[in-house]
Amino acid sequence: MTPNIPPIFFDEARDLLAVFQRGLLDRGARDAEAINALFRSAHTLKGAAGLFSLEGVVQFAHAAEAVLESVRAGTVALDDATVKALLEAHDELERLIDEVAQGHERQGDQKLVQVLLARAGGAAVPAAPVEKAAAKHRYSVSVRFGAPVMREGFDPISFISFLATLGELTDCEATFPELPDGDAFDPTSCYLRVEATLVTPVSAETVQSTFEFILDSTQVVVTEVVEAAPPPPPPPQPSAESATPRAAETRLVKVPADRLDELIDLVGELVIAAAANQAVASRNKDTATSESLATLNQLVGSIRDTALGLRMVPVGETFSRFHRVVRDLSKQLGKSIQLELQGADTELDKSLVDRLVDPLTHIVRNSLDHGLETEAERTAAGKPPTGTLRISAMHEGGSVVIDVSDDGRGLNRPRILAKAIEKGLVPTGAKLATEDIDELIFLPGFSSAEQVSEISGRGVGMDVVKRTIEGLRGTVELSSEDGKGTRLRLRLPLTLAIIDGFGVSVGTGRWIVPLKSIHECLDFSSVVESEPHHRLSIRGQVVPFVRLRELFTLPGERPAKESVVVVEHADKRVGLVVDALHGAVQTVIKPMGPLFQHMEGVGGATILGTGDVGFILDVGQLVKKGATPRARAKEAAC
Amino acid sequence: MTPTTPVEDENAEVTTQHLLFVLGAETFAVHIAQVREIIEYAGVTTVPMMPPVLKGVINLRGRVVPVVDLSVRFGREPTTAGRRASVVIAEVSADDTKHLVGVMVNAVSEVVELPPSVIEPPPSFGASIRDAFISGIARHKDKFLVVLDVAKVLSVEELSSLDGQRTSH
Repeated sequence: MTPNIPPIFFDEARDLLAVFQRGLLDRGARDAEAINALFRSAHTLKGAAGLFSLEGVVQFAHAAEAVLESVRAGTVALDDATVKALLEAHDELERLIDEVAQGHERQGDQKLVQVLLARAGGAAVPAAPVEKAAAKHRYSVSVRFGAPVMREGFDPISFISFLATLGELTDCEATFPELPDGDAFDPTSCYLRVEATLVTPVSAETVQSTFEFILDSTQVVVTEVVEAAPPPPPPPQPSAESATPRAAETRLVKVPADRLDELIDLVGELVIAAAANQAVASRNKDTATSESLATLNQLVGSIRDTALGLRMVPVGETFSRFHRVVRDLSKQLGKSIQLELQGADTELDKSLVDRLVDPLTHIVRNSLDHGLETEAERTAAGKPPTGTLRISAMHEGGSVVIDVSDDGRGLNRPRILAKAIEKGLVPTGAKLATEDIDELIFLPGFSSAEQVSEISGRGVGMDVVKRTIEGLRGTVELSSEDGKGTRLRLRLPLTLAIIDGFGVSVGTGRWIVPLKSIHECLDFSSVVESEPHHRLSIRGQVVPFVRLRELFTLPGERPAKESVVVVEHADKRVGLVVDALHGAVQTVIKPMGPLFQHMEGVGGATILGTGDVGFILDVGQLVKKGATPRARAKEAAC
Repeated sequence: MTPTTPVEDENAEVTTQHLLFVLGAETFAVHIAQVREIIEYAGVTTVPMMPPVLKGVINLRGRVVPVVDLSVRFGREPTTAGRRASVVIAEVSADDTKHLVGVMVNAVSEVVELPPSVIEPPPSFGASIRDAFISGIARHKDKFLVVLDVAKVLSVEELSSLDGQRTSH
């Protein structure tokens, strides 16, 4: 029985085989690029199979790879006979993988392996001799890494990881017998020794060659351990076995992203059509139809959620790329920084994730460059020498919150203010509140580094980050404590496509408030505390309000009875005063296009049940508007 | 489909067909390749805080499409919606993506052949609208028609910056 092999392996292996076969069958493509593609698919398959110690597959993929290597080197022609042999290899690989999927692992057809390896000829492939290829060797591998290995830019663990791809790596043990004490210790030197046992079909030379690049300084001893008869390969399962159910195998289906988008568009249309029916039924006061439509709407709602769920991917994949960014940059900057990831399995719409990569990269770079200090600075400040950058993701209400925080020096506010004054962004001698200073870094044309460094000063500033996030209907919050660190909090909607909305109207115009952001709906006259001060009093709490009619200069008279929708964003509340409330409605977000890119307070448009266009309020911006310094100033003046 | 159906899209570059429409008292022409479809004007949803040139948005089979008042774009009085008012849907590109933009006109007249031989380069002065909007002057039935450059007239950059100026104060 094969250990836990994820379904993605089979999915990928079959894809690779399909590519492999297509390449072989396409007689038109016989150029270097096509042969490279063939080689790559065999090689990738070998690597993937190696990860799970599927020796049968590895051996076959290796043989196919060897033939292609010779083709690439020009020593073997890709003639009909070679293609035929490779196609047979493909078929055998397919069988092997199918059997593994059913839980039976076996060696491939050894005659075919020999045919292939014979065809590959004396090509320079690190291949084991034919008769040995089938057998497994047990090696004791002892590696004594040389002191300069890390200084030369090698990561010792990557060699061990590679060893693991050759076969089964067991009893792996790391020791530091020569670790010096005190001043003799050089943190850039490598004191590592590794002892391990490797069971692999490849030769001792191949194992040794893993360390080729560092053999100057490193001692590698590979000795074969003679074993009493290796366990016989499990016999091929009788054909009756094929009757057993393939229960364990989850099949994955790869779907082009645009087809998913098409589906989501259609679901969107369905939602609109359902809402239109509902509108007609309630206009005609047709209770029976309304009730049956309620069932339909419920189904449409679950179809919508399922369809949207198809696009959800964990953010972890995107996050893990920052390991590389952090490693490379910290080396370049001479800082010691560790990256911590949290909530990597938080799911987010794929199209959102893709558009988050650039802003996140910029934030990470900024943090590494400006936020975190060098080891010496940190030690002087009484902090642990290694700085920590933490990226975390979590769900909160209807949004996803992504934090990028560091335990660095925090924002240098006096310098930011000085810089803003120098750039003419703020009048000289201005006194700004702490949070207003923090906002300065989001202004276009602001770059806080004294000299624009090559790390973070690449023409995109925090203003671009902010704009991108706001373009995704998200918000950016910054908090920083002197000497303790800085945190950027990105708050994003779960999806870009469909939301649960709440319909309100002002005059003849219909507006949609995202349902998730609504705290409560109240009768305006019962909670208004001060009309000129734009203040409500809700259960003793003062909440500012904005009247949509005034905010958007909408036509029409204020009705005698107004309602207020209290919305909440980032722990702040604002009351939106409207003429009438219309209740919850599934809302398909339609992009407004570039002509309306400067619109404030409106996050998008939607098609209402009546076929008219309605506008979706951007609660984040409205909440901010409700509590802008200007509004406060006006209040003070009154 | 009958074999006599004229092939359209493939020959878009070589066809000389132009759509004629009426705006105010004047007739304009646009190359047919730049027109996606023509629909009846049935009102628009006004977008708050937008300049008069952006008349509003319409629901075009589930898509939200902006409608531009061409008359305002040419610096004239806003178009009044008469019985024959139509919206010409044109495709324009911005940032490498294509967008639909509707143009409100008083009436759509006909589609005519305007071969290059009857189209002359735009005059350097004397035209009643910005010369950048004009791709040529065509002679048709003893009248002169302004052939519009749709890409310039409906430049997303210009239209959106107009709205930016408007909302910034």
